[in-house]
Amino acid sequence: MYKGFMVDKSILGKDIHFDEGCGSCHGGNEKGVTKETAHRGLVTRPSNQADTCGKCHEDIAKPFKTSLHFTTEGQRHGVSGRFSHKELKTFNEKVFEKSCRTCHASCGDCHVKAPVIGGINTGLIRGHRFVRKDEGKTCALCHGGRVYPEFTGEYGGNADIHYQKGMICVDCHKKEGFHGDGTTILRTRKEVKERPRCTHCHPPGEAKTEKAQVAHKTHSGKLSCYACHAGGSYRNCYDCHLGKGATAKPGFVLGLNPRDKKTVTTLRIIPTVRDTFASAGIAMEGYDRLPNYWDAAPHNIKKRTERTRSCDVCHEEKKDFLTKELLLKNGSKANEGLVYTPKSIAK
Amino acid sequence: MKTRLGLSLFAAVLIFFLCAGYLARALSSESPGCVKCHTDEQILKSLYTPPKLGPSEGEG
Ligand code: HEC
Ligand code: HEC
Ligand code: HEC
Ligand code: HEC
Ligand code: HEC
Ligand code: HEC
Ligand code: HEC
Ligand code: HEC
Repeated sequence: MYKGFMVDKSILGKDIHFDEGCGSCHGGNEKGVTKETAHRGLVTRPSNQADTCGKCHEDIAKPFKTSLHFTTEGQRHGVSGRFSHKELKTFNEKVFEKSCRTCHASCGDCHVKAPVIGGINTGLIRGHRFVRKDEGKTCALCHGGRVYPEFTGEYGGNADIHYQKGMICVDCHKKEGFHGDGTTILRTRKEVKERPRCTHCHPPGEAKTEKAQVAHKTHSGKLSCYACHAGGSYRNCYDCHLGKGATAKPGFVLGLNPRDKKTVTTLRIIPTVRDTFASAGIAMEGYDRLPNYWDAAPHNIKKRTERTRSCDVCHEEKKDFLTKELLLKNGSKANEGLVYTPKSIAK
Repeated sequence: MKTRLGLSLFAAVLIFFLCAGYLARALSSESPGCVKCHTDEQILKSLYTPPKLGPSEGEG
């Protein structure tokens, strides 16, 4: 829509960002009188070069280059364990820059205009204001495949309790996590120091009822909060092939967290299959080193779920626990290490 | 004749300066081209070309 390209006149002359003219960020030819001549040499995504903002926000633009949103290093790290040295080189050359890196965030994607997803450009967030945040027009688009709709309840079921209480992304995820700390290039979201944790806001022992107190105390260090409080199915993606994408289906799986192999948590199927990178000539020699399930952080938290209502759902029915029989067909051998069956507690 | 030529020369120079003044003002004010089109709904509407949709993957 053309409206997304409309700049709100009332901010010009007031907002310091426009003091040096449009060309100071967008290049182009300010003397051009037609669209074509004016747009000659135009930079449509100026903050893709973070230094454009770094002229004045050096304290943010510099560390930003180490953030996951800028590098998308998490995506490389996630699969590189399956590659041989040679394959990693091919991946870096043929896949990473052309595929993974293309969805990295620019400063403007969170502060100026909604990112383009699926070719759809809804344009400027608020008439080209430089906003601090506007999750529904920024985070929501890039994380619209699962997190955002899960959180708001658009996939069915109830919205996350935090959404119902009026909270949204930046109430838990802080800017320090997005801007990066500038010291080391982060490789996974677990290395984000400021990442939110349930216990930051809900310290152990503060539950009001005996029921909650007991449930919490008994399972401390054994179960993640998600195992009991994830409100229902969340999205799992299957069968990703380079350039073709993956298929999504709802599901709910409990098993051991692949990061520590001790805590039981919600697991999400990731879409990397044996021939995901076949078209790039990468066979993944080490495919079986990493599992096809990773610990999930479903954004559909509820106080009461079938698991908080009844201890038997897990201890007797063993519902949704990963078993050998349920494992993905032709999946990674590492999947077996995540299978877990809770003990019976019936007297 | 002389005065007439003088007058038209004066007029030409005057017109030139008026225009130049206008041009200079236009150029010195903040990017007239960009601002003019990007703050005018009618102009922008007429210039807008809808994008072609292609395949894309989100982060999820
Ligand atoms: C010419 C210097 C300059 C440049 C270049 C610049 N900024 Fe700013 N920016 C500022 C100043 C000064 C402020 C603080 C203004 C204020 O406090 O109202 C600011 C504030 C902001 C804010 C906070 C707005 C608010 O409401 O609190 C955001 C977000 C922002 N800038 C993003 C960016 C981005 C993204 C870029 C690059 C595209 C950028 N800036 C480039 C000078 C600049
Ligand atoms: C993934 C999203 C994201 C990206 C990318 C991002 N920011 Fe931010 N930024 C935030 C959030 C969230 C806040 C905090 C908003 C709040 O708490 O009100 C913030 C705050 C700011 C502010 C306000 C001042 C402050 O420190 O609180 C400025 C200025 C800013 N960002 C500039 C930038 C610049 C420049 C870049 C690129 C180098 C950038 N941001 C990249 C999410 C992002
Ligand atoms: C331009 C698309 C884009 C936008 C806009 C965006 N993200 Fe992301 N986000 C990504 C991608 C891609 C990754 C995966 C990066 C990686 O690890 O490779 C990611 C990773 C994350 C992560 C995990 C890594 C980390 O840094 O903690 C969180 C949390 C996150 N995004 C939250 C947000 C929030 C909240 C917003 C809005 C303020 C937002 N994102 C805006 C694309 C985006
Ligand atoms: C301080 C830098 C800065 C200045 C000055 C600036 N812009 Fe922008 N502009 C941005 C950023 C950042 C984006 C979002 C793209 C990105 O992520 O880099 C953007 C996006 C846009 C878009 C949307 C482009 C698209 O492809 O959807 C338009 C239109 C636009 N700007 C027009 C203008 C006009 C007109 C002016 C002058 C009145 C101007 N800009 C001045 C930084 C700037
Ligand atoms: C109530 C707090 C809270 C709110 C609100 C919240 N998150 Fe999260 N988010 C978390 C926690 C906790 C994690 C897990 C952090 C970790 O340990 O990696 C997480 C992880 C993530 C991740 C990385 C894991 C994944 O599944 O990819 C993304 C992306 C993310 N959040 C995006 C968002 C977005 C987008 C929003 C807004 C729609 C949002 N979050 C709102 C608490 C929250
Ligand atoms: C940034 C702080 C913050 C984080 C992080 C956070 N919460 Fe909350 N949570 C809240 C607030 C605030 C409420 C609403 C409390 C109220 O209204 O009584 C809430 C409500 C809840 C409730 C409902 C409580 C009730 O009495 O109805 C549950 C359950 C809950 N959170 C679980 C979690 C889980 C699980 C996580 C981690 C995935 C988490 N929270 C992360 C702040 C947070
Ligand atoms: C074994 C299952 C289980 C696990 C694991 C679990 N909870 Fe709970 N939680 C419960 C039950 C049961 C209740 C009480 C629900 C009710 O009142 O019906 C509860 C209640 C709560 C409440 C509301 C407290 C109140 O005062 O009413 C919050 C907040 C909460 N849990 C947060 C967490 C957080 C944070 C974690 C992870 C550190 C966690 N829970 C892990 C079972 C669990
Ligand atoms: C989400 C599934 C789940 C729910 C719901 C659940 N548990 Fe557990 N519980 C576990 C897991 C996993 C362990 C780790 C030890 C095991 O495998 O039994 C455990 C451990 C225990 C233990 C310690 C056993 C030992 O030897 O370490 C007791 C006691 C227990 N649970 C009682 C309960 C009670 C009582 C409830 C209901 C309030 C309950 N559990 C609800 C999954 C669950």
